[in-house]
Amino acid sequence: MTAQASYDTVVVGAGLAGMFAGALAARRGARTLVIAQGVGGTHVGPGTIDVWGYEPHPPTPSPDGKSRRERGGLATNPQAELEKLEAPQHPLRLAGLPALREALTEFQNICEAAGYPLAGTLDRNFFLPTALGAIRPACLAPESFIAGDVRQPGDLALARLPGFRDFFADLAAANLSAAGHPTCVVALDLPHAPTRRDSPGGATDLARLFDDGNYRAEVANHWRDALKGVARLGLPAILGLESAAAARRDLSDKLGVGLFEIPILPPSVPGMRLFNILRDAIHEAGGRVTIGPRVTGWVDANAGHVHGVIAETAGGPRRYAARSIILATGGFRHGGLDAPAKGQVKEPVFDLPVSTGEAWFAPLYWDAHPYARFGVRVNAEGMQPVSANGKVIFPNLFAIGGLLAGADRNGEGSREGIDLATAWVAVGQIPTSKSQTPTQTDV
Amino acid sequence: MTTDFALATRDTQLTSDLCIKCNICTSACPVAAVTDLFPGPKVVGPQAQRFREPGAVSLDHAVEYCSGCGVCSLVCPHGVQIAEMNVIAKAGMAERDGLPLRNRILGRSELVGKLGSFFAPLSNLPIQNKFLRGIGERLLGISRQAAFPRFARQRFRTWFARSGADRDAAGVYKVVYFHGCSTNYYEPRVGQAAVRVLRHNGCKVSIAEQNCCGLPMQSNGEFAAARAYAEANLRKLAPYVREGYVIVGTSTSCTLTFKHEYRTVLGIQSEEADLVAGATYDFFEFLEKLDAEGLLNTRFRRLSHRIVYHAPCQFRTHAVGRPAADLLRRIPGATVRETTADCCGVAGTYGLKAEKYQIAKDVGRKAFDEIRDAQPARIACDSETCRWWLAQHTGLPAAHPVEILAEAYGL
Repeated sequence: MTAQASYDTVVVGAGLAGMFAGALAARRGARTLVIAQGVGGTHVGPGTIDVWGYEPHPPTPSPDGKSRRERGGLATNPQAELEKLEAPQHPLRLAGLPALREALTEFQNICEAAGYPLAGTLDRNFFLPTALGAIRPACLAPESFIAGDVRQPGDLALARLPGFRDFFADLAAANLSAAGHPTCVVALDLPHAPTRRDSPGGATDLARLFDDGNYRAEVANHWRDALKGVARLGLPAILGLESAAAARRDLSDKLGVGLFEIPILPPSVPGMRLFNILRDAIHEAGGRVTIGPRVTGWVDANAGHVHGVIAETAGGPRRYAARSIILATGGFRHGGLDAPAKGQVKEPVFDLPVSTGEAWFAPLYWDAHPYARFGVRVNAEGMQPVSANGKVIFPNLFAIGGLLAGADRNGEGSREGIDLATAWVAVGQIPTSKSQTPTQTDV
Repeated sequence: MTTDFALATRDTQLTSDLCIKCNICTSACPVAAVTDLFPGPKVVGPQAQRFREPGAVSLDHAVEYCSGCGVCSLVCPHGVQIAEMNVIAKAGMAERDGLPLRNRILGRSELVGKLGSFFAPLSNLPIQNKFLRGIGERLLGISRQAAFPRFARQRFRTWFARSGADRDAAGVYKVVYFHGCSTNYYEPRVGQAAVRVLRHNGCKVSIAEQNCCGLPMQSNGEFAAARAYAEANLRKLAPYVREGYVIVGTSTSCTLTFKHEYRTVLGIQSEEADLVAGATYDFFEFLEKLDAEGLLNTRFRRLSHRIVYHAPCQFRTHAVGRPAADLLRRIPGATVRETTADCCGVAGTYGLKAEKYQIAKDVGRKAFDEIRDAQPARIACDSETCRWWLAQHTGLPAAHPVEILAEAYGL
């Protein structure tokens, strides 16, 4: 079987882990292809980098007598939590603190260079309001989020945008106030708000409007009087898509009010910003992103390594050879793990062994569910998938992100930290070709 | 709508059940981004589909505003064939409500091409005449502003017949070249460059008897007529594939139609359809394959040339990367920038319709701006309708990338 094309690195999956790995590999000079069936987790995530959000909680007995694990309290210092973490197989322990720190810095550099700085350090979490008025810890957050940290001085105000369906300021304000963060609501009309024929437009429509300086000026004139006496104002995350940081600063200056964004329902505008930044970084470094085809592994079992991937393109399978393959397909919710029948778990791309357990579910919905920790086990050296006895399965195959075993990414608030740190370690292992010609030459 | 049709396209329509309503498609839709008339792919696609299963006709005319660019299907993480579902819905409505004469004309690119090139250059006059175009807009609804290409005086097939036999009768690959309507009737130079480049790389080139691929009819709602074209092409091309030929085309929408539309949208399920789909390559996809096999000649002349490459939406649906841009970059002296816009707006015949012309122009604004900012010597693009549209709206010349490659080979 012949290859359609050859790459140094093929990354499967276009979520945060895959796109970051693609950007890192391309910047190291590897001829890189990121390939994925559809866009990934960025578009459904909040657009923050969560590293560790919750303190461990001791198991407590549940009403039916079984042991339960609830979510712990908010963690103020992710680094301190990680230093205490007693789970040798946890992806963040495998990656290690130095790799995590470097990965976060590099990610901040990429975002900064794209004009979208992320604030924060590893030893301190922001406490940010959610769309329902709960508090969510985040390690790194876009500049446009941080004025919402509930520990900052000044009462909070939230914008009620009549006609916009995806943010209920009154509900969020009531919940925040009840939790001891006094919050008021200001009704603010959007001048000529976009519609989808007979219903109001969504967050993406509004974000595109806020990219336009003339629109922001119009909004500022419209809102100025209503915001007298408001110290800081929370809006759903709609303040620009292409030039978000500048858009928020500009509107904030025009109004003389500290503005902050609150992530809302998918598709996530702050998540799309991160996706776009990484996509551009990959292109600028000469890499390719192909969104669309489903991908399976191209394995030479006799040779003991992975040839590459087989993409289900419009015309049929096309084989892409690669010296290194990074699997970043996510967990159950993203198609990286599949449960075809009760009790069975499969990894559909390379049919890798999946570490599972007897119990899948905890008794109560909000508890920590055991299935969240199912996934592919990797070694600490290079994020290479290993068998149950710890043996590396293919030397040129790496697995990162939500696919990995040993983490309860939601319960820990560790999702993006795992994505970035494991991508960093894996890309650190891949060889790059010396004599390659640049694939992208900008005019 | 016949029972057969409903059955044949059922698999495509049933992907609506995979939709979790995340709205990623709506946020990526280039049409929904510029007009309120289109509520977005999720609403007219999987959401509306649930009201018309099985085989029922859409209640919602907003699907008419789908341009068929296919971006929604690509970005969907769950495998919902949204764009495909929309084309099927449009055809169902056409069957129920009838079609305007305009759509029947725009769908008949082969007939228009045959007549036009027969009477060329006379036939170019009405197309360039403002008064007649004004009448055309009022009577038919074909935008008076949209640029149309000129009919060529000599058809590509005539040139090919006179171009002589292959030097290497065996060839590293036996290629049956699918030129499509635009190359035959409007831009024979694209086909000439393609044949020269293939021969230069040691391929034996044939051209089969062929019809319009059927895509213009399919997108304008005439499924029965499109299916007749499809069956004719499959009948003519399948024997070549059985003899070991690969099918290579320069019109990226025609090659996509062979690979994808016949089976997924028109619901043609046959051994011939699979055979043809599996053997079809878009031109630069084929060159990329030659390159991977060590068969591509990469000795290029210097071509100090600033190029902006635009990957057409229909090329994206092939899901094979950007082999044209990758190869053009290897020409010494050439600088290649790529647009980031997902669609230039015209989407085949969408932008030619009077009521959609402005929408298509608004969709294309990002591509136009990116191209104008780069001020290239030429725009390179694998789709003819995109080339004509981009050239009209940027004032810059546009070529198929194979024309540039042929120059770099000195052919």
